[in-house]
Amino acid sequence: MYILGISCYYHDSSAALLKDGEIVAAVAEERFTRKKHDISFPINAINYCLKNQNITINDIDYIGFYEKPLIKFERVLSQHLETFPYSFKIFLSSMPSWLSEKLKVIKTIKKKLKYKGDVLFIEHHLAHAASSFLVSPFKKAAILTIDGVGEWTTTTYGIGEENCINLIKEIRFPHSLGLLYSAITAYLGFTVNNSEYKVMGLSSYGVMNREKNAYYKKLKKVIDVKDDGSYRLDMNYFAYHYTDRMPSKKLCKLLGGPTRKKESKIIRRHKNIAAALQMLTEEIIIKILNHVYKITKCDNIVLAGGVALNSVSNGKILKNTPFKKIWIQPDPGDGGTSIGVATYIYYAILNHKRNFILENPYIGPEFSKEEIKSFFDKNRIRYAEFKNKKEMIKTVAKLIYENKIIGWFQGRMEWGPRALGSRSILANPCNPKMKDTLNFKVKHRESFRPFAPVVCEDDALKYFECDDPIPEPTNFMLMVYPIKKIWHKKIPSVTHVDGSGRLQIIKRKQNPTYYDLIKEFGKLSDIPILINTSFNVRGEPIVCTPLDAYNCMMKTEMDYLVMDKFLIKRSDNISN
Amino acid sequence: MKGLEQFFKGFKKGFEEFGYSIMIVINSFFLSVVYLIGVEITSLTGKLIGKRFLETDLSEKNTYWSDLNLKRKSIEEYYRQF
Repeated sequence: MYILGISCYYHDSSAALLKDGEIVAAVAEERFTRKKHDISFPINAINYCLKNQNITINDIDYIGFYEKPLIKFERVLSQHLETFPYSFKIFLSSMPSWLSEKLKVIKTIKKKLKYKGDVLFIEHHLAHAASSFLVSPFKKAAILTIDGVGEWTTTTYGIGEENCINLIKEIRFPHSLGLLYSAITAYLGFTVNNSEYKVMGLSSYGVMNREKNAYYKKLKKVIDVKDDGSYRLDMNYFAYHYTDRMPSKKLCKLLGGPTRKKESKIIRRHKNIAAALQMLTEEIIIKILNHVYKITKCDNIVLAGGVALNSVSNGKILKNTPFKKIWIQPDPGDGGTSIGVATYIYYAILNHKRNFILENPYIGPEFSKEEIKSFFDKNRIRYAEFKNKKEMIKTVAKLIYENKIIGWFQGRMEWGPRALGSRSILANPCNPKMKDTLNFKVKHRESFRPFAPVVCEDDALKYFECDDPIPEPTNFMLMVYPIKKIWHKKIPSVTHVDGSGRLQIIKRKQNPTYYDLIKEFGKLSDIPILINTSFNVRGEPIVCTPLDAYNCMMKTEMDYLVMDKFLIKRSDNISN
Repeated sequence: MKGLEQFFKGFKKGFEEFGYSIMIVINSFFLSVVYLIGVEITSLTGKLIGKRFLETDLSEKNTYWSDLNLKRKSIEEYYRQF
């Protein structure tokens, strides 16, 4: 039985294909269209999923959509009715897309895919909950979903057992922790639904002390938080429910000035606002989770929704709540709901016994050795071929040790927003200049942003103050932990200003080549850790095809590209 | 021949852009009418009878959690878009 899950029209369109309960293919549309966070109907992602299984659309038993469009439309109309006449501009700009596509999901699916079967619509937060719980290693778990907004819901909690999910309570729009984070992201001059992680990174530069950070007290005024973690925003401080601008003038006044202009200098005030927001977010999440534990009495927790991408907060959950185990799937945001709807249809609605755990994020497109070689030959690209994997690993580890920057393109692409060793840029974390070199010469991004370390499972506790046993979401780079102090100066390029690192922990069974490369680098440097950053440049999605990877290398100052068993040296191809 | 082909290509593109601009004007006109009549009347009527379309007020209650109880329903429920 094949089930196709679709998520689109808000941000991060994606498609996922389930075969007899197992996710066999899943990918975000942005990787094909090269538009970051592409919202369009994921036709390329769907075509890839079908091609991967060598099937046609007629072989699909059900298609699932990640929300109930009419309920969402009711919420949008309610916003206009409540805020008339202030919402006039946004009414004019948003209604055409509602009338032309968002309310015509079935028609679009039938027309674009020539599909004649059944289409099912799953509530947005149920899709989030399913995307995490139904592919988790837990038979029973408490569930918390927090995002910007679905239909009406912005936060839910509940419980999952075997193949059943029950979301018990909710908080409804316009009160949203996700939108609070986005509003401050906008205030700090970053792009909403894209740069929230930059604010999270920036927060470490501010004063992370509730007493000493004046903005923490100011931000407490905009949100009323109860003892059980439930909250409401004071909507006088926000404008997102009636304009395309998120913070209101009152919020700007409270925070001491107008919205920061994009690319303008980041000053101490901005850093402290980011720190205050991060502290407040963590405080609310921990309060909610403690309440959820009281209600559910479950030792396991699964998280979903865009706020579950806040890896700094995730890293503090087990220490500050009674939960013993945590699970987050590699893409907890809206992109991940395509997996949620497919799994919910198969396991919950059709009542199949659970038989799948998403341990491996490598479920995207891959290219054969022949395809890659043919690409090189057609484009007269100069390359060398390694005799075998062992030679490749030894050579690449040596190049990284010599401070060369490597584009690493291997096997099936990762699922989710993080590069996890299939489409990664790898470099030497022991070189103190590597962070700046990567930021300015390769990634072209803000200097304050940290780089992530990747470490093998058996070495993690030596270098990082992780929870023990190490939580599985570290495999997907979703937890930030302190780096042990003695290593700060030894791995300066992955040690953030507050001494933390957003680490990826890799198991050999997940990706043996990647694992062996890290170990081989360890033999040379005595520290088996690499810098792993996404294979892209600022503003572009992670590379998908050999062409994307080659173009990315040539546009930047990366030194080498390692694609399958081929080595391409940038300087050999500059005249090409 | 090539020049003619290019001319028609440009003509087609220009015509598409013109059509798009016209569409925006017409859409904006009709949507303005809908907003200024439909949304306005409903909104004002709602306000007169004390109806709130969004719950924005803070309260003294102990909790802001509200019941959801969202769980498995029969498959027919999932064919609906609401």
